[in-house]
Amino acid sequence: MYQVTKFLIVASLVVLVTMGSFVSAEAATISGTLKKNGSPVVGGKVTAEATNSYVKTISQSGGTWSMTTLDTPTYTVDGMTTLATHNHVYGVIGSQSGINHNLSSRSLVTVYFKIAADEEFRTYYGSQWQSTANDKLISADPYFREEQSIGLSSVSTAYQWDSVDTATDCAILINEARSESGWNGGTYSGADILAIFTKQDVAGGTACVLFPVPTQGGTHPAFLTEHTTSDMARTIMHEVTHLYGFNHGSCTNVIPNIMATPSTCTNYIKNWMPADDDTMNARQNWY
Amino acid sequence: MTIKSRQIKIGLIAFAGILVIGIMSTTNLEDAIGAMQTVDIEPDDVISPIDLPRTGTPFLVAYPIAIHPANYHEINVNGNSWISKVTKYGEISVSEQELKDYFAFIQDKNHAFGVNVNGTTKFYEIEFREVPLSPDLFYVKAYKLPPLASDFKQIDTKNQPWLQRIADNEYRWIEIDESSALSLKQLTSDDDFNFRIVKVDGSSDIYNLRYFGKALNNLGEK
Repeated sequence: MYQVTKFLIVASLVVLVTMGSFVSAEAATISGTLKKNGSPVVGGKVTAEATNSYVKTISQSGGTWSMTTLDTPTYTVDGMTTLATHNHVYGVIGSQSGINHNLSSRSLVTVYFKIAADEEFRTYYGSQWQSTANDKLISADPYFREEQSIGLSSVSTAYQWDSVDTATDCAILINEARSESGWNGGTYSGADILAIFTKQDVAGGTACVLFPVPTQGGTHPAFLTEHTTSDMARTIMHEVTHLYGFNHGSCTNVIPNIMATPSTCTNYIKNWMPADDDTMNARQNWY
Repeated sequence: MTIKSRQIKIGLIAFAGILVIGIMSTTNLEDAIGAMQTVDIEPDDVISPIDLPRTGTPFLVAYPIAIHPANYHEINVNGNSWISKVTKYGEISVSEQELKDYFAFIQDKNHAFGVNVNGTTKFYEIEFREVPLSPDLFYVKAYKLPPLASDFKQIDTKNQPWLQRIADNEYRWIEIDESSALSLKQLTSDDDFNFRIVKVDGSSDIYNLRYFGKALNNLGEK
């Protein structure tokens, strides 16, 4: 009798736990205000970030905002706008109002890129190759500008690079562009980072940096990207974040983020998770 | 052993030593280059943005292709389609349904489109963008065009000071106020968004202006 009772209790617990795991999260509404130095911000960004969940909204008149999240994960709610510090509110769970951020001013740091485009890229886009390369590069600017107070800009001197037609190895192409453009010899033209564009197929992927990633700023690193990717802003944001010393993070049970491993992660979105925001803040002046 | 042969022997030993050091240095250098050449690659099959939460307002942008691409999606344009609009204006915000249509095209990773209008095919590369903008505000972006022989409407920034800021910040969405948006509406009443903009220093460049934000249609009307 004792054994039967014990079995029933254990079985019931197993059923309850199993049922619990199938209970889906429900919608919850969170809201608050976004201010900078005490004044309402219109058009600022507010994100709710939790493991495997990311929601964003834009602040409205009076700095007010609201958004629909899920009721079960615990969110970090992050407020941001250009020329301001980030501000995190931790531990938001369920429906909550009055999630208020008051950001402080901070200066914009401009990072200058020198564009190097190979002959295939230039032929493909013709007379508009430089505008096209610039537009692709600057597509990542709104994220760096709004979230990190880092502006991306290019110097007017673009380099017309001739890639070896048989080369498909990303490292060989990067080293070739660095060498040809004089970047290795210190011809930076006032730029901090070399942005290399190619129309050649890169073996195994679309964009790359050399490893190891920098451990400090001012090292004049480079990244390379094919002429087009599924999300050029994401590609450039990811590669440039490498150049701020970041390696890939874990895929599973993490906040969706830009340094998720692109080859395997389904969390690979244009967002620095809160901990990485803080690290980026500390490295804002690297370039 | 004579002094001469000893000198030769010492010389040979020294030469061998240099060779060994040279080989070791080369090996170390190769190791160093090898270490540097470990690369991070974003793979071709990276997760598509269509399957991810939005991080901004979705846009499509069209870049003219100067050559006949080997492979492209051939499209016969109809007046109201997203492809008609993006190739006309260069960049447009799109709905989630339009995004789905677009991503269905580029499942093969080929972003080249051949757009047939009245029997003539022009080639464009069309890319996805997301930009953190508010639809309740007014934004303008200037995309610099190469110097061309064509005539363009000329605007002097002395008369439209807000345009100086746009021209100084090409390729970026710049927020403008309502009165500037009203000026833009008047300047583009013929639906032509290409201008020669004369800047404060007297120099001029040709720009394609792009707009995002509140609908301009009803702006300035009572």
